[in-house]
Amino acid sequence: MQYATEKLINLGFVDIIGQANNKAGVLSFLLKGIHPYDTGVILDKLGIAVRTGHHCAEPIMDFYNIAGTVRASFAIYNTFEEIDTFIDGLKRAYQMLS
Amino acid sequence: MTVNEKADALVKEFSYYEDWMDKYDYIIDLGKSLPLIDDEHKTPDYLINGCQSQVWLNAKYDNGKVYFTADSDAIITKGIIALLLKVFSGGDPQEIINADMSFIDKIGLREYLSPTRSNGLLEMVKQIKMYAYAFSTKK
Repeated sequence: MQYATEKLINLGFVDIIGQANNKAGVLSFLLKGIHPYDTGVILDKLGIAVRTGHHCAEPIMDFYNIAGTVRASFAIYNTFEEIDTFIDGLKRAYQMLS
Repeated sequence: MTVNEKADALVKEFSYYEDWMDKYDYIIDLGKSLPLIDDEHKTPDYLINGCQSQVWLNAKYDNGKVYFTADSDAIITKGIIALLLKVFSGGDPQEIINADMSFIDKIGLREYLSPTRSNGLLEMVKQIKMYAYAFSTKK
Protein backbone atom coordinates (compact mmCIF):
# COMPACT_ATOMS: atom_id res chain seq x y z
CA MET A 1 0.00 0.00 0.00
CA GLN A 2 2.73 2.41 0.96
CA TYR A 3 4.68 1.61 -2.20
CA ALA A 4 1.58 2.03 -4.42
CA THR A 5 0.47 5.24 -2.68
CA GLU A 6 3.89 6.85 -3.12
CA LYS A 7 4.03 5.79 -6.77
CA LEU A 8 0.54 7.19 -7.39
CA ILE A 9 1.37 10.54 -5.79
CA ASN A 10 4.61 10.76 -7.76
CA LEU A 11 2.71 10.45 -11.05
CA GLY A 12 1.52 14.03 -10.51
CA PHE A 13 -1.79 13.61 -12.33
CA VAL A 14 -3.62 11.56 -9.70
CA ASP A 15 -5.91 12.69 -6.89
CA ILE A 16 -6.20 10.11 -4.12
CA ILE A 17 -9.63 10.12 -2.49
CA GLY A 18 -9.27 9.17 1.17
CA GLN A 19 -5.91 9.25 2.89
CA ALA A 20 -6.53 8.03 6.43
CA ASN A 21 -3.51 6.69 8.28
CA ASN A 22 -5.02 3.30 9.04
CA LYS A 23 -7.03 2.42 5.99
CA ALA A 24 -7.74 -0.97 4.45
CA GLY A 25 -5.93 -2.24 1.36
CA VAL A 26 -7.83 -0.13 -1.12
CA LEU A 27 -6.74 2.89 -3.12
CA SER A 28 -9.51 5.14 -4.40
CA PHE A 29 -8.38 7.78 -6.85
CA LEU A 30 -9.08 9.86 -9.96
CA LEU A 31 -6.88 10.84 -12.87
CA LYS A 32 -7.14 14.63 -13.06
CA GLY A 33 -9.93 15.74 -15.40
CA ILE A 34 -10.78 12.19 -16.50
CA HIS A 35 -13.99 10.25 -15.90
CA PRO A 36 -13.43 7.10 -13.78
CA TYR A 37 -15.15 4.86 -16.37
CA ASP A 38 -12.75 5.97 -19.07
CA THR A 39 -9.77 5.12 -16.87
CA GLY A 40 -11.37 1.76 -16.01
CA VAL A 41 -11.93 0.81 -19.65
CA ILE A 42 -8.33 1.45 -20.67
CA LEU A 43 -6.92 -0.37 -17.61
CA ASP A 44 -9.24 -3.29 -18.35
CA LYS A 45 -7.92 -3.49 -21.92
CA LEU A 46 -4.41 -3.59 -20.47
CA GLY A 47 -5.34 -6.54 -18.27
CA ILE A 48 -5.52 -4.58 -15.03
CA ALA A 49 -8.62 -5.16 -12.91
CA VAL A 50 -10.00 -2.19 -10.96
CA ARG A 51 -13.46 -1.18 -9.89
CA THR A 52 -15.02 2.10 -11.03
CA GLY A 53 -18.09 4.07 -10.06
CA HIS A 54 -19.55 5.23 -6.77
CA HIS A 55 -19.07 1.83 -5.04
CA CYS A 56 -22.60 1.97 -3.56
CA ALA A 57 -21.54 5.06 -1.59
CA GLU A 58 -23.39 7.92 -3.30
CA PRO A 59 -23.54 10.22 -0.23
CA ILE A 60 -19.77 10.39 0.11
CA MET A 61 -19.39 10.88 -3.67
CA ASP A 62 -21.78 13.83 -3.33
CA PHE A 63 -19.70 15.07 -0.42
CA TYR A 64 -16.58 15.10 -2.58
CA ASN A 65 -18.66 16.34 -5.54
CA ILE A 66 -17.41 13.61 -7.90
CA ALA A 67 -19.14 11.12 -10.21
CA GLY A 68 -17.20 8.19 -8.78
CA THR A 69 -13.67 6.95 -8.36
CA VAL A 70 -11.33 4.30 -9.69
CA ARG A 71 -10.48 1.82 -6.97
CA ALA A 72 -7.62 -0.62 -6.84
CA SER A 73 -7.82 -3.27 -4.13
CA PHE A 74 -4.71 -5.04 -2.93
CA ALA A 75 -4.47 -8.49 -1.43
CA ILE A 76 -1.75 -10.52 0.19
CA TYR A 77 -0.74 -12.11 -3.11
CA ASN A 78 -0.16 -8.88 -5.05
CA THR A 79 3.46 -8.14 -5.90
CA PHE A 80 5.51 -4.97 -6.32
CA GLU A 81 5.90 -5.89 -9.95
CA GLU A 82 2.12 -5.83 -10.37
CA ILE A 83 2.00 -2.36 -8.84
CA ASP A 84 4.58 -1.23 -11.40
CA THR A 85 2.40 -2.68 -14.19
CA PHE A 86 -0.58 -0.83 -12.73
CA ILE A 87 1.35 2.46 -12.61
CA ASP A 88 2.49 2.00 -16.23
CA GLY A 89 -1.14 1.32 -17.19
CA LEU A 90 -2.21 4.56 -15.55
CA LYS A 91 0.45 6.49 -17.46
CA ARG A 92 -0.82 5.01 -20.70
CA ALA A 93 -4.46 5.69 -19.83
CA TYR A 94 -3.71 9.30 -18.90
CA GLN A 95 -1.77 9.81 -22.11
CA MET A 96 -4.68 8.45 -24.18
CA LEU A 97 -7.49 10.22 -22.37
CA SER A 98 -6.11 13.65 -21.53
CA MET B 1 -24.47 10.07 -48.76
CA THR B 2 -27.33 8.08 -47.30
CA VAL B 3 -27.27 6.84 -43.72
CA ASN B 4 -26.38 3.30 -44.82
CA GLU B 5 -23.58 4.58 -47.08
CA LYS B 6 -22.14 6.54 -44.17
CA ALA B 7 -22.30 3.41 -42.00
CA ASP B 8 -20.42 1.42 -44.67
CA ALA B 9 -17.79 4.14 -44.91
CA LEU B 10 -17.30 3.99 -41.16
CA VAL B 11 -16.91 0.19 -41.20
CA LYS B 12 -14.27 0.59 -43.90
CA GLU B 13 -12.48 3.27 -41.91
CA PHE B 14 -12.39 1.01 -38.86
CA SER B 15 -11.05 -1.93 -40.85
CA TYR B 16 -7.74 -0.04 -41.19
CA TYR B 17 -7.21 -0.22 -37.43
CA GLU B 18 -6.07 -3.65 -36.31
CA ASP B 19 -5.10 -2.80 -32.76
CA TRP B 20 -7.80 -2.04 -30.16
CA MET B 21 -5.61 0.86 -28.92
CA ASP B 22 -5.83 2.52 -32.33
CA LYS B 23 -9.60 2.05 -32.37
CA TYR B 24 -9.88 3.63 -28.95
CA ASP B 25 -7.64 6.52 -29.99
CA TYR B 26 -9.90 7.08 -32.98
CA ILE B 27 -13.04 6.99 -30.81
CA ILE B 28 -11.49 9.39 -28.26
CA ASP B 29 -10.51 11.82 -31.04
CA LEU B 30 -14.02 11.66 -32.47
CA GLY B 31 -15.38 12.46 -29.02
CA LYS B 32 -13.23 15.57 -28.86
CA SER B 33 -14.59 16.76 -32.21
CA LEU B 34 -18.25 16.21 -31.35
CA PRO B 35 -20.59 19.13 -32.06
CA LEU B 36 -21.50 19.93 -28.51
CA ILE B 37 -25.01 20.26 -27.18
CA ASP B 38 -26.06 23.74 -25.99
CA ASP B 39 -25.89 24.23 -22.24
CA GLU B 40 -29.63 24.88 -22.15
CA HIS B 41 -30.19 21.33 -23.38
CA LYS B 42 -27.79 19.78 -20.90
CA THR B 43 -30.64 19.04 -18.51
CA PRO B 44 -32.18 15.83 -17.14
CA ASP B 45 -34.84 16.05 -19.90
CA TYR B 46 -32.19 15.32 -22.52
CA LEU B 47 -30.36 12.63 -20.58
CA ILE B 48 -30.41 9.14 -22.05
CA ASN B 49 -31.58 6.53 -19.58
CA GLY B 50 -29.54 3.41 -19.08
CA CYS B 51 -26.10 4.94 -19.52
CA GLN B 52 -23.69 4.67 -16.60
CA SER B 53 -22.05 7.89 -17.56
CA GLN B 54 -24.22 10.87 -18.40
CA VAL B 55 -25.17 11.36 -22.04
CA TRP B 56 -27.28 14.22 -23.35
CA LEU B 57 -28.82 14.10 -26.80
CA ASN B 58 -30.79 16.71 -28.70
CA ALA B 59 -32.12 16.78 -32.26
CA LYS B 60 -33.24 19.45 -34.68
CA TYR B 61 -35.38 18.98 -37.76
CA ASP B 62 -34.36 21.19 -40.64
CA ASN B 63 -35.37 20.95 -44.28
CA GLY B 64 -36.34 17.29 -44.10
CA LYS B 65 -33.17 16.20 -42.26
CA VAL B 66 -32.46 15.41 -38.63
CA TYR B 67 -29.40 16.98 -37.00
CA PHE B 68 -28.16 15.73 -33.64
CA THR B 69 -25.97 17.27 -30.96
CA ALA B 70 -24.77 15.44 -27.87
CA ASP B 71 -22.38 15.50 -24.95
CA SER B 72 -21.14 13.21 -22.20
CA ASP B 73 -19.06 13.57 -19.07
CA ALA B 74 -16.90 10.59 -20.12
CA ILE B 75 -14.72 10.92 -23.20
CA ILE B 76 -15.02 7.35 -24.51
CA THR B 77 -18.80 7.53 -24.21
CA LYS B 78 -18.65 10.83 -26.03
CA GLY B 79 -16.66 9.15 -28.78
CA ILE B 80 -19.23 6.40 -29.11
CA ILE B 81 -22.12 8.81 -29.45
CA ALA B 82 -20.02 10.86 -31.89
CA LEU B 83 -19.60 7.70 -33.94
CA LEU B 84 -23.36 7.19 -34.07
CA LEU B 85 -23.98 10.83 -34.95
CA LYS B 86 -21.43 10.60 -37.76
CA VAL B 87 -23.73 8.02 -39.32
CA PHE B 88 -27.15 9.40 -38.40
CA SER B 89 -26.85 13.20 -38.22
CA GLY B 90 -28.09 14.84 -41.42
CA GLY B 91 -30.10 11.80 -42.46
CA ASP B 92 -33.77 11.91 -43.28
CA PRO B 93 -36.10 10.44 -40.66
CA GLN B 94 -37.19 7.40 -42.67
CA GLU B 95 -33.58 6.52 -43.48
CA ILE B 96 -32.65 6.70 -39.82
CA ILE B 97 -35.58 4.55 -38.75
CA ASN B 98 -34.83 1.88 -41.37
CA ALA B 99 -31.04 2.03 -41.05
CA ASP B 100 -29.13 -1.25 -41.16
CA MET B 101 -27.62 -1.48 -37.67
CA SER B 102 -25.17 -4.27 -38.47
CA PHE B 103 -22.39 -1.69 -38.76
CA ILE B 104 -22.07 -1.65 -34.97
CA ASP B 105 -21.09 -5.33 -34.91
CA LYS B 106 -18.99 -5.00 -38.06
CA ILE B 107 -16.92 -2.31 -36.39
CA GLY B 108 -16.52 -4.67 -33.46
CA LEU B 109 -17.76 -1.96 -31.14
CA ARG B 110 -19.80 -4.22 -28.90
CA GLU B 111 -16.93 -6.55 -28.05
CA TYR B 112 -14.83 -3.58 -27.00
CA LEU B 113 -17.45 -2.43 -24.53
CA SER B 114 -18.38 -3.70 -21.11
CA PRO B 115 -21.96 -5.07 -20.84
CA THR B 116 -23.22 -1.89 -19.14
CA ARG B 117 -21.72 0.27 -21.85
CA SER B 118 -23.11 -2.00 -24.51
CA ASN B 119 -26.58 -1.48 -23.04
CA GLY B 120 -25.95 2.25 -23.03
CA LEU B 121 -25.10 2.05 -26.71
CA LEU B 122 -28.45 0.40 -27.45
CA GLU B 123 -30.22 3.14 -25.49
CA MET B 124 -28.44 5.78 -27.58
CA VAL B 125 -29.57 4.08 -30.80
CA LYS B 126 -33.10 3.81 -29.46
CA GLN B 127 -33.19 7.51 -28.59
CA ILE B 128 -31.80 8.52 -32.02
CA LYS B 129 -34.49 6.44 -33.73
CA MET B 130 -37.18 7.88 -31.43
CA TYR B 131 -36.26 11.41 -32.51
CA ALA B 132 -36.36 10.35 -36.16
CA TYR B 133 -39.73 8.71 -35.63
CA ALA B 134 -41.11 11.82 -33.94
CA PHE B 135 -39.92 14.01 -36.82
CA SER B 136 -41.26 11.61 -39.46
CA THR B 137 -44.79 12.13 -38.16
CA LYS B 138 -44.36 15.90 -38.50
CA LYS B 139 -43.98 15.75 -42.27
